[in-house]
Amino acid sequence: MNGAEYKPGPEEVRVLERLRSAPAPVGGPAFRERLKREFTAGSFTERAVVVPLPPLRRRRTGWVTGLAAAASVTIVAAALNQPPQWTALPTSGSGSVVVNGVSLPVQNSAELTRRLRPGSRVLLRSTQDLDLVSSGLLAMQLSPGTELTLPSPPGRWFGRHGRASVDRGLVRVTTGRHFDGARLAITTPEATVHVTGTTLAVIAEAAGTCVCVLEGTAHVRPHRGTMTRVHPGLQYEVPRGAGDSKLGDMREAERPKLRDLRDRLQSVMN
Amino acid sequence: MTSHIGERAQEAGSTVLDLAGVRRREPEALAAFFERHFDRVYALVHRLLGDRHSAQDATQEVFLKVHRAAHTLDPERDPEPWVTTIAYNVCRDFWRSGAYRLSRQAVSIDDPEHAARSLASRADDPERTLISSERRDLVQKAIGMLQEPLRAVIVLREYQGLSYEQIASMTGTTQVAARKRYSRALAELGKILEKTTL
Repeated sequence: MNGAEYKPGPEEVRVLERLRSAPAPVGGPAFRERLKREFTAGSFTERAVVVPLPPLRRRRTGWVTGLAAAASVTIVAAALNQPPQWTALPTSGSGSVVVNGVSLPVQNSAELTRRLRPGSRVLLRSTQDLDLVSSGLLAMQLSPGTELTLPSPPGRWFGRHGRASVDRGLVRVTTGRHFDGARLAITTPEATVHVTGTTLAVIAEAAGTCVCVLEGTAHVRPHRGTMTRVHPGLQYEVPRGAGDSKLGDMREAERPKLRDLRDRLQSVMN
Repeated sequence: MTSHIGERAQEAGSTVLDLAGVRRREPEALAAFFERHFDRVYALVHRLLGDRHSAQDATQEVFLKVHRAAHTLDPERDPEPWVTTIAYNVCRDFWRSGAYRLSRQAVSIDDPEHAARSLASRADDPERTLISSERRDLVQKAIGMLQEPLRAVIVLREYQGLSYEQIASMTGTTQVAARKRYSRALAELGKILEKTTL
């Protein structure tokens, strides 16, 4: 017996003593004699047939079930978390929109909507502004000549941070009621604008970046500088080259356009 | 640590089995073989399965398998490990059978609290605790409350006197796992048995 490597403790010794003190089960004499006869004769009476079943797989099944349930919950949650996708609203202008290198007529809003995805590169070559809406969350108005990377609208419960970039042009942004608690970062060549619920314009022009805030507040962090809070009615200019950023009254031309955007899209944003 | 191994060795040495006769299925050799192994096989399967009817069915199954496979017996080796392996495999088949699972559910011995209460209530009777068969039944019930892997290790180790290596080989596990199961089985048996006064 290979027991040298294991020394039972006092409790175990007591258990062992009780086990060993129990007499062995004994087969009844009648059963013994009958089986002996059968064994020596090689002729066994009819007996209970033991049909082994496959080993129980409760634990594995439990794991599989648990994983499947978790995966299902994750998939459903992820699906429900999906924000409304971007929709291009009809425009009266003419021209084209280049989405990921594919040029489309700006009037074909259905095809535009089909092609617009978070992360899409969009270049507007049109005579009029183009409105893009993620219902209840976010609306963006692109001015002719604007080139940007479309953000992912914030998720309903998680993944509530979106990121966009405006390489050139002018983008007006207004947020909807479902945007509460979400954040959108818009990057330009000179700065990053953090939006937490507001109506504002981000203008990326040759001289630099200008952020005009109509409602709420925006935080602007120049790539070389500290973050500045921009209050309603003000604008913050970050020059492209050397020079200081400047805080001042917002451009008068932007005020009615931002107001118009907010009011016009109120029905789909609130 | 003393066990039943010495006892078995003495038994083994007391008679010389005609294993060649067993291979040829000669009635006299088979009878001697049966006498040599019956008690041990019956005790093993009874301890592993926990009740008399299952033990009888399993014992019959074991000797049927031995008879069928007698021609494969190696006359140069002690046949006991071979027989023990057959017995263990038959019990494993019982454990996997639908009837056994149903019977386990029916007597609720999966429920340690229920069984412990049952043990305790029976142990309260001072007259019955003096009877050795009662002691055997209580220990058997306690063993029966263990999960099959733990039960197999404790029975094979304590009553069959097998080494961890042999147990590991028979049950398809490692020596380390067999030793851990043995330790766990003792700990669980200690908890079960401490609720009884015998």
